[in-house]
Order: sequence, then structure tokens, then C-alpha cells
Amino acid sequence: MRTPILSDARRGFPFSPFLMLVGAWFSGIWIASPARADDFPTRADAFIGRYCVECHAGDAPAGALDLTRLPRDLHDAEHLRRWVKLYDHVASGQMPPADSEQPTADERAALLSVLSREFIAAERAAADETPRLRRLTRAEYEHTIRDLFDMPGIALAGNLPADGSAHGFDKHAEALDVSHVNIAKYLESADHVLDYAIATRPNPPTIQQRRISLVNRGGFVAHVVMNGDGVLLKDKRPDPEFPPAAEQNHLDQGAHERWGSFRNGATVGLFRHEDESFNPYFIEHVTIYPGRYRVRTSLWSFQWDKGQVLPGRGTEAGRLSVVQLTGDGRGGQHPSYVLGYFDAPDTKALEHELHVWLNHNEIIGFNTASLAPTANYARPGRAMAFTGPGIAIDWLDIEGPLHEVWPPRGHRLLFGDLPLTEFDANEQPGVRAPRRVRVRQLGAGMNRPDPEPGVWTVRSESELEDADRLLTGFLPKLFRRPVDESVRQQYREIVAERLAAGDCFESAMRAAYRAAMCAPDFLYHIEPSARLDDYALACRLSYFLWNSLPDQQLTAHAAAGDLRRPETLHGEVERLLADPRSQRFVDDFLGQWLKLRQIAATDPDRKLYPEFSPYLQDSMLAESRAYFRKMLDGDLDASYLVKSPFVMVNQKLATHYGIDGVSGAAMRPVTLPADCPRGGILTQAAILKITANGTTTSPVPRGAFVMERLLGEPPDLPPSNVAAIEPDVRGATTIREQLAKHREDAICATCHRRIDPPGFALEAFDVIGGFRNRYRSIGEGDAAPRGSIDPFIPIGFKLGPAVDASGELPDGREFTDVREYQTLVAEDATKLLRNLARQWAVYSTGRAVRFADRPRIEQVVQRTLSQGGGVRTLLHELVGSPLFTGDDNPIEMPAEVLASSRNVEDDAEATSHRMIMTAVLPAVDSPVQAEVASVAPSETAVEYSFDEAHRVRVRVIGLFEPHRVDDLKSALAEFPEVLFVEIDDATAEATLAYAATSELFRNGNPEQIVERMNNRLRQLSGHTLGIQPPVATPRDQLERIEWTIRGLDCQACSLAVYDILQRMPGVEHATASFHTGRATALIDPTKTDRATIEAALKARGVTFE
Amino acid sequence: MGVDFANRRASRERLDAVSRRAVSRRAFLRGAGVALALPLLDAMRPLRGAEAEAAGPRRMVAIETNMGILPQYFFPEQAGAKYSATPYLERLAAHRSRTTVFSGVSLPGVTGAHAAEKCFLTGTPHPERGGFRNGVSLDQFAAEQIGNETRFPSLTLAMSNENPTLSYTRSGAPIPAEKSPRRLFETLFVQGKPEEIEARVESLRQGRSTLDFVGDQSRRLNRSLSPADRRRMEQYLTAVRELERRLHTAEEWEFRPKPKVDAQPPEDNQDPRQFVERSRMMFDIIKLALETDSTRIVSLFIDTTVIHNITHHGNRPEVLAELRGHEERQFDALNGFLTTLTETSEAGQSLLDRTMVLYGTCMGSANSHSNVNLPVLLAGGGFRHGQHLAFDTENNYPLSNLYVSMLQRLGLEVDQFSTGNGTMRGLEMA
Repeated sequence: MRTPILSDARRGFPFSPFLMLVGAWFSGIWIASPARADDFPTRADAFIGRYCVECHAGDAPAGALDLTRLPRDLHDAEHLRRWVKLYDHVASGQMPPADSEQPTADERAALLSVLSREFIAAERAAADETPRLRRLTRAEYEHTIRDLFDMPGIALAGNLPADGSAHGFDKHAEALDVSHVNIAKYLESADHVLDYAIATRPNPPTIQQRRISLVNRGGFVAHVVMNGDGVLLKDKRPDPEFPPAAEQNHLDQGAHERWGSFRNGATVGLFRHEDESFNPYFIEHVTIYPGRYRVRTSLWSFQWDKGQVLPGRGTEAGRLSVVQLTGDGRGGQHPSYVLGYFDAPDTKALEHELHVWLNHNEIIGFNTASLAPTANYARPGRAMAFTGPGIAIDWLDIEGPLHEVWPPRGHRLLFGDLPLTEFDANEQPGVRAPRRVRVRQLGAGMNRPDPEPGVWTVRSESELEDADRLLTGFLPKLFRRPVDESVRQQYREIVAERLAAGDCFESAMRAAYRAAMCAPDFLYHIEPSARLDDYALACRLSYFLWNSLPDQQLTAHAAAGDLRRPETLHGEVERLLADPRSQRFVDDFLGQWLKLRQIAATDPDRKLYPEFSPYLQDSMLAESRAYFRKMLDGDLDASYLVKSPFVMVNQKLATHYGIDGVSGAAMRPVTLPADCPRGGILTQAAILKITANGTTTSPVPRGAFVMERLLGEPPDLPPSNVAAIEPDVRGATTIREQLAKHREDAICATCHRRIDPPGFALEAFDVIGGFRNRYRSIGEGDAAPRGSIDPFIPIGFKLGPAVDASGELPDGREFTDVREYQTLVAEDATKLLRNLARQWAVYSTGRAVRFADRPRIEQVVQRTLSQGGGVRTLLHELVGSPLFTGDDNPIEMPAEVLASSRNVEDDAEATSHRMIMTAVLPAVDSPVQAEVASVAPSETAVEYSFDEAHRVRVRVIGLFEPHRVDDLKSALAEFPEVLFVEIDDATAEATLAYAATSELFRNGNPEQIVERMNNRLRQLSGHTLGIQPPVATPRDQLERIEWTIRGLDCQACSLAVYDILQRMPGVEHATASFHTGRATALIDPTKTDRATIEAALKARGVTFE
Repeated sequence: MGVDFANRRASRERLDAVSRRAVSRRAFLRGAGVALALPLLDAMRPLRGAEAEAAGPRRMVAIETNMGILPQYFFPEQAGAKYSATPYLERLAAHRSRTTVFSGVSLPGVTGAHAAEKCFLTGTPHPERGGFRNGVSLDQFAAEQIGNETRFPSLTLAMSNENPTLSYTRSGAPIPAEKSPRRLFETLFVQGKPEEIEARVESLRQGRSTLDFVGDQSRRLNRSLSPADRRRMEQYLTAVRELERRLHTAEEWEFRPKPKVDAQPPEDNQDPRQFVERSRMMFDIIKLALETDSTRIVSLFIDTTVIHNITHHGNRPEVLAELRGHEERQFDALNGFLTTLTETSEAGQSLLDRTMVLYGTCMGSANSHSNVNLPVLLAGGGFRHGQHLAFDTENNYPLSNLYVSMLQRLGLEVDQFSTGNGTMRGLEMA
């Protein structure tokens, strides 16, 4: 422990040397100080000695706070914080407690005035030690690059080390440390950005447009559909070519793929939700070229009833996400993010379209979000025994990359309009060509890279002049303020050096750009030590509301010096808030203020909360964001933080909240019934989930959350010797009963009488934010009614003790339930507003709100209240306040600024049929077209002649049914070098003539001829037909065996059975017919027998009648 | 990607006959020693105080097998130092005093049966979920800090015919593992082509010159900053200088000849059924890599998918016996590795005393796909070993705390990693 007394005359704290010797202010005995009566120690000691020591001293001081040992060195931030706390307790009249001796008003005022003066002096002294310089957060870095380079989805933040957090926000200067790891990652990141930005080809990559099915080649969806977790549908009926999996599943995915079962345009009807072993995605598009893509999909839902498609229970929702393939090209699950949730209306297809940015190797994922987890995979009867809801995915269209201009804007930022030309080593002897990485298709995508165009790069006729010109444009944008000639000169020097060392112009410029992107001018918010200049003010504004750099207009205001004009400043606030980029503010601010970033930190217990799902969780997030947005847009007052006549919900959340009549994934305002406890942030499911642990709730963390986050009165941590309460879900005691014991302890009681009441009120909600009258229990209890839980979710929990959500506020006001609590706390709207002002002040300036800032906060609050108390007004007032601008006086908001936004009517909101979780890009209507690739030289049709001498006797593979001979003939029709002569249906032996003069067969021996025929035929038939030498065993020595196969109702399955038979040694010919359900084999009895073949069939999943 | 495991991999052959067939061990393994142990350059010496200077560096090898380890043959009944060795631990009896066995530990929230295999070193919860994003792995976290002290910041290895890895970057991207002992050997000990070296050196130099430049920029900015902000900027400059030093070291490495060992490159063996033999080959090269101080951090994924079908033994005695046979041979291979580490000494201590060897699996019971009560042990590396640290099997202790202990033992100043918020209770540094 620090010595409690510190004497430091320089800092204006005259302490008596005598006291120093004693080593404490006093030790039970009051010692008169020789100093003046108005000095901090004297006044404080007198007050404390008289009114506080009775409880706050000795061996077991109240609240574990011994005021006689509270250090007086206010330069220590922690000491200052504790003194400010003492100040607040005395100022609010909370201390001394009502039942002890009270100081006179004068005594109180005198103490507060002395303390206040000392605090401000201490803060002023500390100001020189408080850094203002702060690094960009990961999110700021990423958004800045995205906006500057017009690459709106490039993923950078995930590769940077996590930021710290101070005073609740990662934007705080003290939270943003830098280590060599950061710098190494900035270097890497700069290279990655430049790789993405620099154009390496004369024309944009070909825009590929592709309609793909969810049943992808080699994919999981095909696999589970073959086993009954989904079906293929045509015209809203089971696809006749692919009957639903029944007792017998479909055999052999490879055979079905060769047969084209998944490529006939059928719709996929899926019953299965994603789970541990099932993550559906559209793997046939794997992004090669990063850029904007148009994604369209068509969804509907239905009720499946053992083979029939019937109308369902209403609109379902499908989720689209972006999934990154793992390095080896197999499907992966990270890093991935959710694009949104899309309505799948009942039996009526709805098309959705959105524009997204896709990075290299990213694919689109899908989930049947609104369905309950269910699996027919290994269930008897599979799809034909299942009745339940399904979601149908007709197709996914993907088109891109869509470039509005070429070279793209990121490239133009770096190289302006310099022409792209092919690099010619002969023309530039001794110059190194720029580095190029060949792009590849890593995964199973059907999209292919364009042919490599050779090495194309920008060409400069006067390199240093161009360098100077380009740097003049680039550096001020990147650094967000004007750049001195001398600084630019240093960057130009890099270019000159690299050119001298033999780099080409692109590489030399790249070196300078890379340096700039790792320079502190870019990585830090540089605010001049004197007055905050207009460029810094512009940055404060844009990083506050966009988490990114100022755009052209805002920078222009800073350059013109008119940003501080009231109509400009407040007009810009309005403009920034109206821009879609302001959603970043809502997401990032709420992510930290309301801890929404922690929404997935706990996992609700599956037995207690079986209805929880990722869709519900995302809906919670979307609600909190949409509601806050609504408050901002409508300039609603702070009481809406805790109480509101409306909620922002979608169907999923409405069901969860017990609100009827909401259909679809989109968030929309819904007016609440009068007695509904919802409305306001306080009772939103996201908040209730974040403040619970997934299994149980406790009034303590919830109460602490309300106090700290909403009311701005953070409670102190419990003394270290007090054990936390162990949760118990066996159903015998409630948390409230356990806590009651806790509160009997006087030490605990002082804080808990303040912390617990909000938590008691919120006991009415469970860990996933559901309303409850009784606790759920795993052990004891009564049978639980299903309520709104999906009928396909089994319920295992019981109902335990009743919930008591009543309580009493520290000031004596009582409430019997959460609704009454909401009303009480809504009366504290000013407190809520003041807290929001403080939170925004920290978030937007990256500095803690100091004691000395209180009058300014108060000014912001009072000015806001005088204009109606709305939160948008508050935001304006904060931006205009000296706290934000660094001016001495507020920049007042002109009255007409808000008029437009306030009058926006919300009920006109059209339902969008979707809930978007990430920023969606504006449409690219007229992309620049890539030049049409040169057409391959057309082959001239050659007529071949055939003669008797050039014929082969062969065995045709793949003739599993009589009609396959027609397929053979049509395949041969595209094989001009071969002529069909005749075939023996019983043995599949055929005679084929070949053109001996053709390129293909010239100089071939008989074996080679059969080999070449086989290769070409396999190619032409999608690997379903082939050619082999004829059977050696004489026909009369072969034996025919026959089986009836269970459930052989699909052509591809017939091919699968045939394949198994045909590949067995000793089987010379086989058939398998989905018409008759029978399979035959012509065997050589010396090599195999019936039992061996049957065992092989069984091993591959074939069952016999 | 979650996987229906039965369909995942082709190889389902039974192992009995083949696995017992003696496979001649590769020539390079016999008495393989190091002909030239590199002296540490001053520039490469870690700035980590007198202890490290005197005793040599600390190292870490983290190994996961992905199909569980039969718990009944692994976990001792008694806690503490006086536990009776179980059949598997019996195989490591020679190293009992240098080993700590854990029970009642798991990675909080890491569930999803087989999906958990990718989280063994990251501890990132819920790999089974659709939106899962992995975190940085223990080895890569350490390599970021101390990796530049050796030629290779870390080695990410796998004994597999597929593409698994234990190592993940900060953004959760998997780092492809080297699967070929031969290629690994060449990377470690066979000198690269001059033009390749040239290109790498050039790239490092450009990195350094960038850093040099931005360092100057921060000095320029300092002139206009308040004293407090100057101190803040100092942190940036320090970080830049530190990275510069590291790049310089890396550049030095490019000019240094690779260490020469008198072993021959091994022949790769693709037979999945010989996974124990293949593990041994990896172990032997890891030992050479550590001995030559080519790296100090290694992750090794031992893919035993070939025995996946028999791990679902359903308690059938004959299947259990077969599985036990395989697993015992795996512990024999581990024992061999630990033994070779004890046979090499460095500054008066055995290599094992300087090398933490973490060995464990992502499933407590492969039979039930359980991800709790993981069989895990830690050998060597400078801890007070020789005990069985038994935690609550109902309410597991976070294994991620062991990772914090390991990072601290490497000299990193961390008190938190992944879901670990403190060091392993009961495990003291020696």
C-alpha cells in the first residue's frame, strides 16, 4: 500500500511534516492541522473526522472503505477517482446515510467547493501527462482503407491484434498500445491492400454470371439430400428423376453427379438446419477476383408431408452468409459473417437481390434459419416418413466482379490516369518487372480465372514528376490533413531511390505508398497540441459517425475553414447521420456501450433453452441496433432507453416476445399492447442475454449493467473476500433467496440496495430474454407448457419456483414488477440522457470525461433538455460543445437543422422482406464490360470414311438399361471418328468402326485404339459410358444372376448399382433398372459367385427385397 | 466444416496385420547427430535477461492426436506425486519425473465432437457453429513474440494424408502444415538457391528501409506534439525499432548457412496405417530442428483418422484391445521422442528440460464424441513435474490456463490467452 500522505509542494499540497512522520492523517485521534481552514486536507479531514469515521474506519470499515487511509495524492488517477466518488456521494446526499448525523448545508457546500477546486487543479496538472494521440482502432483502420480505396469489403481488422479497452471503449487513447506485432501486421496489411488495389490487367476480369444450385457437386447438401434431409423439387413436386429418399437412401453421390441428378435445374427443399456436421453453401462459385458481386436468390417454404408438398405454416427465413474457404480449398467456416435473413414465403417464391463485396476465396453460405434442428438422415423411412416444414431454394445467381470503372478507383487513387501498358523488358533494360501472383481457383468453383494477360503495369514518361503529382494527391487523403512539401519530398525520395535501384515505376511508387501506410501520420489521430484545428475536427466528426476518414465534402469544409459555422457543423452532422456509413457508428458504439459485441459470449443451455438459435441471436442484435437507430432518427428522448410504446422486431423476435401478427425477417416498428413490459433497451433480449451467463440469471450483473451502462453510476467491485453466489438450477432455491442472505450482511447491503433493484425487476426475463413467471428447472418442477416454442423442438425442462420481480429503489420508491420499475426509472430521464452524453463524449473524443468536464456535459444536457431532450439533439449539442470542438463556447445548432429529420414518418416503412446484418452496397448498374475474349479457332468439320478392315469388337460400359443404347448412339453422334455398327444387348458387346486416317487413331495398335475410344466416349458421356476390350470367357460358360433391389427408383441409383456390379472381378456384364427394380449380372462362375456379389452390394448400402 | 465422419476419408482398412509388421526405420534416424551446431549470433540472442543467456532458450512442442485417447488406460486414479502408473503412462515411465499428467481439464466452450480438433491450441469456443471464426493458436501467438530469434519462427507440422493443422493466425486463418518429412528436412537443412535467398533478403531489406523511414516520420511529428503525446509516440518508435531488429535478424539468417546434420533426408511414407512410424519420423526431425535451434516452436497434428472406426468401440473387448495396441505404440513413439530430447544437453541441461512437450487430444472419449476430460500431459520445459494434477471431472478446469503457464515459461509477459485467465493451478515453474 502506498504511503497515504504525500507532500508535494510543487503541486500545491502543503502537508505538515509532522503528519508525514505520523504516517497517517490521524490514527483515531484528531490532530489539528496547522494549515489554513480552507485547505483540502484540513477541510476534508474535518468533515470526514466528524461524519464518516464512525463507519469508515477501523478494522472492518463499511464497504471495506477506510477513509482515514484514503490517499490524498490526487495526481494518481485511481485516488482521484475515489475522491470523486466520495464527492458524488456527499453531493447527492447519499452519504452520510440518513440515519446518522447530518452535516449542515454549509459544511457540505464548503467541502464540495474545496474538493472541486482541488480536483480541477489536479486534472490540469495531469493534463500534460494525458495523451491525446491515439492510434486508429482495428475497425477505424479497416473502414478508412475501405472508403479510401473504394474496396468496401476488404477484410483487414481480423488480422490485426485486438485493441484494448479503457473507460468502456476501444477508442480511448490509453487502450491503444503498439508493439512490434502491430507494426509487422501493418506492413503485411499495407501489402495486402496494395495487392488488391493495383490493377494488373488492361481490362477488368470477365464478368461471370452463373446460376448455381445448393446441391453442389461434391457438397454436403447433395449428400444429405440423398439421405432424406431434403428433397429435389420440380414444379413444386418431388423431382421425378430423383424420388425422395425413403427406406432405401440414394446410393453413391459420385454416380448421381455423373448422371447429372443435381444439375437439372431442380429446386432444393431442405428440412435440416445447420449443425455440427452440416454447413450448406453454394460451392460452385468460389471468388477469384475480389470485388462487387450481384447475388440473387429465390426462396419459398412449404409443408412436407411424406412425399407431398403442401402449404406451410407461414413465412420462413433463410440465411445467407459469406464463408471463407480454408487454405486447401475445402469448405471452411471462417472467417465468415452473416449477410442477412431473407423471407421464404409460403409456397410462393420470392426473389431477393443484393450487392456484396467478396474477397478472394469467399463463397456464399446458406442456412434454413427459421427451421428447428431436425435430421432424417438415419431415421427409418427418411423423407418419405417425415412431415414438417421445409425451405425451398430455387437457385442462387451470382454475377461479377462488377467494376464501375477500370482501372478501379483504388488503382486510380494510387496512379491517377497513367496508362496501363504491357511491361517490355527489352524496352527498359535493367528495370525489374513488378511482382505478379498468379490467381488460381482453389476450390470446387465452376468459375475460372481469366487467361493471364502478361505483365501489365502503369507507364510513366516522366517518373519523378508523376511521383510528385501522385503523392500530392494521395498523402493528404491518407493522412487526413495537408502535407508539407518537405514531407512529400521525403516520400518522393523513396521513389527516386527505388527507381535508381532498378525498380519499375509501379514498384517504386508502391514502396512509398507502403511506407505512408505504416507511418504514424496515417496510423494515429494527430491532433495539434494547441487548438484543435479544422482538419482534426473533421476527423473527430467522421470517426465518430462513420468510424472512418472525412469524405471530400467534409475535408473541403476543413480546408475552407468554415466547419465551425453552426449551419455547416450541424449540417454535416445531419449529412453524416443520413449516410449509410453511419450504421458503423450504431454498430460500433452499441457493440461497446451495451456490450453487444459479447452477444455470443455465452451459450444458452440447450436443455433449459432449447428454442435458442443463431437466428434468434442475430434478431436480438438487429433489434437493439434498429431501435437505437429509431431513437436517433426520431430524436426520441432518453426515457425511450427504458420504456417505449413500440418495439423493433421481426417474426422471430415477435414470437419470442409473445407479440402476434408479425411475419417475416425484416425489423419493423410494432406498437405494443399497454401491459407489455417490452419497449426500451432495458428489456431487449440482447441486453438480457448479455447480462446472463447462458444458464442462470442474477440480479447482480444485470443491476450493475443498468447502473453502469444506462444510469452512469458504476458500482464498486465487491470486496475481495466476499464469495460470489453459486448458481443452482436444480430448482430448490431462487437466486433471490440466495441473495437475500447476502444482503443481510451490512457491508454488502450498502451497495446491493442500489445494485439489486434493477436486477430484481429484470428477473422477469430469462437468459435469452424470454418473459417468465416461473423459473425453468432441470431437476424439480412441474411440466412446462410449450408456449411459442417450435413444435419440432423437444422440451426437457420443467417449471420451478415463481419469479418475484418486485423491489425497492434506494430512495424508497417501490415496484411490484418490471413494468412499474420501467416507469420509475423513466422518471430519471435526465440521468439517462446525461449518461448517454458522457458515453458519447468518451467514444467520440477518445478521452475520459474528467471532473472538470462536468459543467460542459451539464451544459450539453441542459441545452438538449431545453430543446425537447431528444437524443439526436443531444448528439448535435455534444458535437457543438467545447468538449468536442475544443472551442470556448458551444456552436449552437440552428433550429431548422433537425426539422427535416424530426418530421420523418416511420409508418410508411415498406417491409423489405429481409434483415440485413452487414453493410449492403449500392447496386452497380452499368459495370464496365471486360473485352470479349478472343474466340478459339473453330474446328473445321471433317468427314471420315470407314471400312470393314478397321473395326473393333468391344464391350460397352454403362449400358445398365436397354434405353442406354440410345444414349450411346447419341454420344457417338458427336464422335465423328467412330461409327456404330451393331450391338448385342445381352452382353453389351458392340462392333465399332473407326477412321484409321484420323488424327485420333492414326498409327494406333488395337489396344491404343480401344483406349482412345474409351477416353473420348467417357468425356462425351459425362463419364457414364466407356469402352473396354470384349469378354474373354465364352458366352456359354457365363452364368446369369438376378436380384430385386429395394427402392431402386432412380436412374442415378441404377447407375450406382451397375457400377458396383460391373467393377467386380468376374462380372462380365450387368444391368440395373429403375423401371423394374431389378439388377442382373453375367458372371464367370470360376471367378465369383452370388454370395460374394451380394456381400459387396450390401457393403455399399444396397438392400434386397 | 463439420463433417459426417463416416464419409470423410477413404481409408477404412483394418490395421491389424500391417501395423504389426516391422517397418525398417530410416537410415537417418540411426544415431543421427548434429555435425554443426550453430553458434548463436549476438544479434539473434534473445534480449531476455541473464537466465536465458546462461541456460539457453526455452522451447515448446505442442502435439494433438485427433481421435481421442482411451481414458481408462490413461488417467491415473490417484492425484499427486504418488499415483500408480496406468498402462499408457507406464510407457512413459522413464520420464515420470519430467511429466505432469492432467485430468479434469478441457477447453471451455470447445465442443462439436470432431470439430474441436481445430481448436486444440486456440481454445476458441464453438467450432461447430456456422459462423465460427477461429482465433490465434498458442504456437503462433508465441511465434509472433519470439519467433524471430530463430531461422524459422515456428514449424507447423502434420502427420496426415489430409490437410489438418493446429496453427492459426490472428485472423483465424489456418496455416498449412508441412506433411512431408522429406520436404521438412530439406527446408531445415538443405541450402536454398542463391536467387531465392537474394529475393528474400531484398524483401527483408525493403521492410527494414520502410521501418527506418517511418521511424524518422515519428521523430518529425514529435516536434509538434505535447510531452504526453511524445511519450505515446515513443511507444510507436520502440515498436518500429524492435521490428527492425527482428527483420535484421531474419536477414542475417538468410546469409547464414543452414546447419548441417549427418542424417540423410528421410523417405516419405504415405501409408495411413503406419501412422505410428510416420509420427516417429516427424519426431526425429523435430528433435534435429530443436537441437540446431532452427526453431523453438513446433506444432504437430497427428492424424489418426485411420483408426476412427475402431474408436467407436462400443466397449467391445476385442476392438478395445486393438485400439489399446495402437495407442500404446503411439505412447512408445512419444517416449522415444522424449528420450532423444534427454540425450542431448545444452548448457548443462537436457534439451527436454528446456523444451515443453504438450501432448493431448481434443476428445475425452472418442466413443461418445465427448469434448471434456481431455487426456493431456506436459513433459519437460522447466516445470516441477512428476505429478498427476487432478481437477473436477464434473466441472472441468480450463486447459487454456496451461497455455498461459506455457507462454509465461517461454518468457512472454501475458496473463491471459484465449479462454485462459491465469496460470495452471498447481503447476509451478522449476
